[in-house]
Amino acid sequence: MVAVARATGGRLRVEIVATQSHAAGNRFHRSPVTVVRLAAAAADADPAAAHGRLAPLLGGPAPGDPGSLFAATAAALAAAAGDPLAGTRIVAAGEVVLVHGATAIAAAAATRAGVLLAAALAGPLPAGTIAAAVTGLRRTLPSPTDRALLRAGTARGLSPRPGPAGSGSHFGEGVRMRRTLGTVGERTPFVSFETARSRLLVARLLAAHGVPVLRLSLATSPAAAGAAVARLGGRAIIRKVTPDDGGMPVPVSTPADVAAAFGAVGERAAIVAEPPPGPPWRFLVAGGRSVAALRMDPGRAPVDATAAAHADSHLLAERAALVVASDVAAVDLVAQDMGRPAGESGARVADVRLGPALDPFLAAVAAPEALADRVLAALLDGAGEGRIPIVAVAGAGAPAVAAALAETWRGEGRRVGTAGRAGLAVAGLVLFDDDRRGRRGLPLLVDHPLADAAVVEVDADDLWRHGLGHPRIDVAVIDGAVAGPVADLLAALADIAVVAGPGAPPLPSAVHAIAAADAAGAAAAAHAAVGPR
Amino acid sequence: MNGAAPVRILADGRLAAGNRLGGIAGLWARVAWSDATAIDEGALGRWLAEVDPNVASELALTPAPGPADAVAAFARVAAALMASGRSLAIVIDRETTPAGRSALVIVEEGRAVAPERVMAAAADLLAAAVAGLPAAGFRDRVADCGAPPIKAFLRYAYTLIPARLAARGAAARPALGQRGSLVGEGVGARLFLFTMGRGTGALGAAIAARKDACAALLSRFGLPVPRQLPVADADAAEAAAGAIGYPVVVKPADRSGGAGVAAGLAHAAEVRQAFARAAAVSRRIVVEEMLRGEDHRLTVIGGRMVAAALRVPPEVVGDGRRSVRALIDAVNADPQRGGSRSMLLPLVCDGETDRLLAAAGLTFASVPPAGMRVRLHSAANLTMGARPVDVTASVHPDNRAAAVHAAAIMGLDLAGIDFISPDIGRSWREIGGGICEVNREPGLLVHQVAEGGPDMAEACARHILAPAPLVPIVAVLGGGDADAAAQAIAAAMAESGLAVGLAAGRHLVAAGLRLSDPGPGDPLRVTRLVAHPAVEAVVAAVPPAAVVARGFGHGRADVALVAEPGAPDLAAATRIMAAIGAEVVDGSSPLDADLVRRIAARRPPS
Repeated sequence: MVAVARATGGRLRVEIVATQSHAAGNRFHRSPVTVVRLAAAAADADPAAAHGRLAPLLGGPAPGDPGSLFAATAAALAAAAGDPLAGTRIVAAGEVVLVHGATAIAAAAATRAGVLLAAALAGPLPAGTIAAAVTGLRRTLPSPTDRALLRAGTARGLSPRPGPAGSGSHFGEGVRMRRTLGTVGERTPFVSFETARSRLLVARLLAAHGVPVLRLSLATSPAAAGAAVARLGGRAIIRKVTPDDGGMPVPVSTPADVAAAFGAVGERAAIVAEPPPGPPWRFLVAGGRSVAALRMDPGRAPVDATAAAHADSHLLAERAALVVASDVAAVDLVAQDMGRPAGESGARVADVRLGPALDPFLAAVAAPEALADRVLAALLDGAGEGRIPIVAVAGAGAPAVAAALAETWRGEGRRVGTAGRAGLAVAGLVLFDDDRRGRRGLPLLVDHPLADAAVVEVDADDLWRHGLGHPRIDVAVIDGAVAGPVADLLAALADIAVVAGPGAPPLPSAVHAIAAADAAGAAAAAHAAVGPR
Repeated sequence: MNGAAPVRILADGRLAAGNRLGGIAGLWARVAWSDATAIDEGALGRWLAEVDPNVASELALTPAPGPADAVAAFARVAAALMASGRSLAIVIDRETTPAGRSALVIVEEGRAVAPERVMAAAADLLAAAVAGLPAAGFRDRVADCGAPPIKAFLRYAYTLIPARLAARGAAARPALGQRGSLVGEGVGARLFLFTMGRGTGALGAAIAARKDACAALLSRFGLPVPRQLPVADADAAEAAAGAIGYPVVVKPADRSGGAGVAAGLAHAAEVRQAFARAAAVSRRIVVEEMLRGEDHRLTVIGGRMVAAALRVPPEVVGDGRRSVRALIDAVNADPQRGGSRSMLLPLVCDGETDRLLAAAGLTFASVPPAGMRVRLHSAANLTMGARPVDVTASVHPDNRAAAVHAAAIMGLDLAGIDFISPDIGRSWREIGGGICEVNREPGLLVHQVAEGGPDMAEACARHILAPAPLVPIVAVLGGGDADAAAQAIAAAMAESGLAVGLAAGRHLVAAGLRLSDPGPGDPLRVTRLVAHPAVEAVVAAVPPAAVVARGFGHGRADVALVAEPGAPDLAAATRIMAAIGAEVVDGSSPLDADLVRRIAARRPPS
């Protein structure tokens, strides 16, 4: 990659001369990393002064060298933007490794850290410089909801990753993979999804099931809206038909109000609803359970009211979500008093949002990570640990070992994904016939929803230089001469064991190593190490 | 239309499922009738045909219930108005009392715009036909109440899966408050909309709606898809076609059913015209490589390719005698094309037909030589008059696998894959071809019509039904005594761990949630409990008279417990309950613990 930032300041110069991204499962870390090489330093540099100027961002003592200062700056920027790095390392003078967290933030953080640090070395920072850097970085990130879910996926060891355009985030591997679009699960029925796009359809659906709702109707002109308001007794609220983006309900009572509110909706139709008895409480329902509730008082930040809401109110929210058939929903209820039993509170459903943003809940509750994890669990829909067996094979004997293992697995009825020099196939269908070793093949196998086991040949040189393309494997097989450090890397990525065939270099003693005499033996050993289907 | 009217409606209304017709919903009318007017069947049919040919065609297919008099004609017209490709059940009960004579007519409720207006419309249509009034004045009446205004052949397609479900003993019923149908009960209730059910995920369906995103996703996984370029205007379309290489396809990225699609475009002028036509229906237009070969539909259900059909594009074959126009007319004269229960549509000619004819050096008046195939459209959609041929058995495993992989990658449990191949019996890896579209809501007719094709409606019904268990349903017949008995049974079932839905007295509670209550005796109470997705068992106290007058509210029950032996209409109500499968049990003695255990044992698998 080319130099991405260049700045000179005073007597010290910090310049990013190169950045390189490594795929997941690389020699620095299981996560993807961005490696930054810096040209820096002059004898009379004053990192302490720069550190002081970045004090709002950086804590602790001033690092002694520009590389550490750079790493600290990048990490602090990422954390301030809401998406901490998984780590930083100085591997050589002027060579900094930034480990991606749940997203590809490290690359963007590196660029901004370079600019910011150069400015701090040059002299006092104009007011707002740091805030602007943080805001700019935040803009490159996925939504807070997606970040929270990706972090929860990382914590569960599901190697979460953004899928190709339009196919959401991916968690887990092969047949055990689940895809999500924000908080919409892969298994959310399309029919429900369509219904949930209209407040009118949702209200009709709930009312038909006998679930208490705020009365509402659809108006297609200001005059019709006025008539609807009159039918509701002269007072009403007007809001958008689609519940996806904000749009606060506007109270109306006069014809002028109605016309203004209808116009403000800015669409051909608007919802006219009876005025709620008070501000709504927003319940988050995940996997059939109401897991959090917020008081949404106007003009104030939402307040966690999970414990204050009566069990009947939680039950009403759960059922509203169930009737709309959503994995995850935000259900707005209104009531005289949400803390009273159903018979007394008069609680009714004002709104159901399928696939809601989690931000207000994450900001208000005491344990946002636990909440995000519960939501993710609902979206994963019983996908369990989300893993399929993965075996990576390196060395001259790799094709023979991979073929033998794939054959054994197929004999057990597995739908094997194979990737190697000769191409890539899943469940017997050849999908590519070019070189698909390592990172060119493995990401496709783990993303393929039919693969229930994967065996991938690895090109040692490419693995060393660019990474494997996935953060973990179960078993590494080394059959033939492979450089010691590459063998160590494979051993570090293997969760279960390393099978060492003839010619394999010695392995660190901590590794569970299994010796094999030939390709057939290596395949059998890998098969046994993975275990039965 | 008084006085001489053949039938006069005294009262009418709707009946919930679980009535004298059985487990299905119906409309009823009590009518007085006149014997003065003889009903001329032929004349009635001809007059109705002028109002609406589909209604007339349904009338002809609806069998006469008993003696063919004015009452029977009235019932058949009412049924024909709602039929949508399936003969509806009819019950007629004539009775004479000292007050006079009347007939109770019950007609199964079909698909109707406004069921509550059907009976009145049927009476008025019958009177108008007998009086010979101008038919044109009655078209609005049919449109106001009758079958929904979609193509008759689609309406027919919609009846296929419900018919298969019913044959498997699982009648589908309209979903509560939303489009689609429900099958199964309580926690086992499943919603489906034509072929879309729970397995049609939001994510896959969203991708399938965008042909451009779909192609990009499939190609990432190495599946064969045509090269595709998005274009903003006619110039860009021409440039893209040049880059891809002729011939090309121009199509909207976000429309279905062949709308705006033009294939086989051979030069720039055709591309520009095609762009204009596509731009009329969408703003997202793509130019696509033209895969060479025949158009096939491969349908995948639950991870298996279950059917494949070759779609022969709309065409006529010359005989050396007749003109193109005459050949088209001859094909369209086939009664299979068009009509209320047809599976094929007539050949349609439009601008593309003109273009294809011109390219072949023909006009509608030309007489093509014997054996010459004259294409009328390049796309092979049924809606354009295409004709399918079953090829399920001959699909090469690689092509079958490609269809299965595509459905899985899209996240669709049920998908129709449009697969182009010069020979579906040979692998795409060997001779090319590929996937040009993935449909999230595939039509059934393409396989249903293809001779020798598998019964796709049956396959879909099995798929929809697979995990749709029934829940125990107990009706307690009687007044106040029934309420107490129902509460006791519900309490005992809840004790055994079931989430109970209870309708008794002033309670309408579904697994702990109090529902809005339409009131005792309203069949909607039972309907709501059975549709409630958290309910594992239903116990409902119902007055027998209400069952007779308004229906039970669901088409099935396990037990009908008689809690009040002397209740009015008890005999008729128990007959209805028995007919929908309920075991009728004497419940006047104290609660039988064994009975509760037996009922609770019907609990659905969780």
